[in-house]
Amino acid sequence: MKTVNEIKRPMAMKMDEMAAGAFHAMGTTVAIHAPQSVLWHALPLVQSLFIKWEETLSRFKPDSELSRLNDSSGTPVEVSPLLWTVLEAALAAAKATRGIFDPGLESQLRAIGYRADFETLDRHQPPAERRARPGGLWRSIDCRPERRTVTLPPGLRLDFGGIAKGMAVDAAVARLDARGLQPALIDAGGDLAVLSTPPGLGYWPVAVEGLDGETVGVIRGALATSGPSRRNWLQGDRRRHHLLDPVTGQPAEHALLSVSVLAPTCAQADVAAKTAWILGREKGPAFLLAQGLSGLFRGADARLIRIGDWPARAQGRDA
Amino acid sequence: MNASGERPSSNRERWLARVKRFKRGTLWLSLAGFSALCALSAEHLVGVTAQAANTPPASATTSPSPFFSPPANSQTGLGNGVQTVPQTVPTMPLTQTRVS
Repeated sequence: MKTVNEIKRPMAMKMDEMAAGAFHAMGTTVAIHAPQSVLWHALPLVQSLFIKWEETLSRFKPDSELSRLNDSSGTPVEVSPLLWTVLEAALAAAKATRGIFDPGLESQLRAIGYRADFETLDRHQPPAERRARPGGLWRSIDCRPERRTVTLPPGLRLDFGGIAKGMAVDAAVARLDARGLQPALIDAGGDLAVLSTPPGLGYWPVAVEGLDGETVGVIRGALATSGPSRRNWLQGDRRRHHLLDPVTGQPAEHALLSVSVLAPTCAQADVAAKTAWILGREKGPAFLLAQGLSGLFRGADARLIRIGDWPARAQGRDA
Repeated sequence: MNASGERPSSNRERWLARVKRFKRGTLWLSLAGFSALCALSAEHLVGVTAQAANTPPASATTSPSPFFSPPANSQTGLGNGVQTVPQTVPTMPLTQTRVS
């Protein structure tokens, strides 16, 4: 586990009493923004939570509980409460998105070369020899709640990906709240949730990457962004990324740079952003509206589409 | 009577007059039929359009699913909704979203 644990003071007006601490976990940098006195206590609590979640749920660690479950397809396996909780949420998300969010695509991700933590992944890989299979096998996972027993169908391997990260953020927020450690903002690689608001400001100013002036004042809830611009690599001469269309088992193709979503929880925001990106500019907005969520679609042509209650552009501030 | 108000003088003229009346009748009948067809088609089209408008997109669910509307946790505040300042804010950002 690489740990950064750096404490730095952000440059922000009215935020001089705020500080930030960060560490590396779950394949990304996790940062906590809070007053110095809160951060001192919050950082180890959040870090220990993320370490436990990564050890349990990483598909890249051969000894994680998830890897053991993936290696036991066809056999009933009694799983821990943590893995059970995340699996339940992932299956609920799959149903809610009609399978667009598919937690059973680990084999397909491997087939296109996503075989290691992205920071250590070879970005120039040889051409693929295998064809990826479509998703949808998650519907055949057998879950027995009496003893938390899970049987994966042959051929299915789980990858929780972003939903596990979002749920870890939500759990960290709950852990801090239970100890009265607030205000705080927990940011796991851009998927973030807030607890209360910074003193003297009333909101958390969060910029959307790559858009000057698109700073959102988050008062309550979570914000997540999905897109292929960061996690992509070459397999032969084909550009690959991690957002798979479950219909084909291949990376979805869109002229969308990213989708940012505001939601009550970080897990919801992450799933909704990923789903909306895969659905694309035509169907994604209708999906968000149907779920009562708001978001920002950023096209490759620089066109922005604001959905629901996504903050309007303040007058006098151009993109 | 012919077009000039005179009684037709021959069988041929009477026959031509009948043909003219028949043609006029056919024309009016055709116009009436065409209008009725247009009205029916328009009604059908309106109905089809209205039906299409009520049909949700294939990819969208018609109502929020349980995953996206879980019961709020009054202790932690999680699930209690999301709230932002209605417009983008001029404050220097504390952090930024990152594509993941």
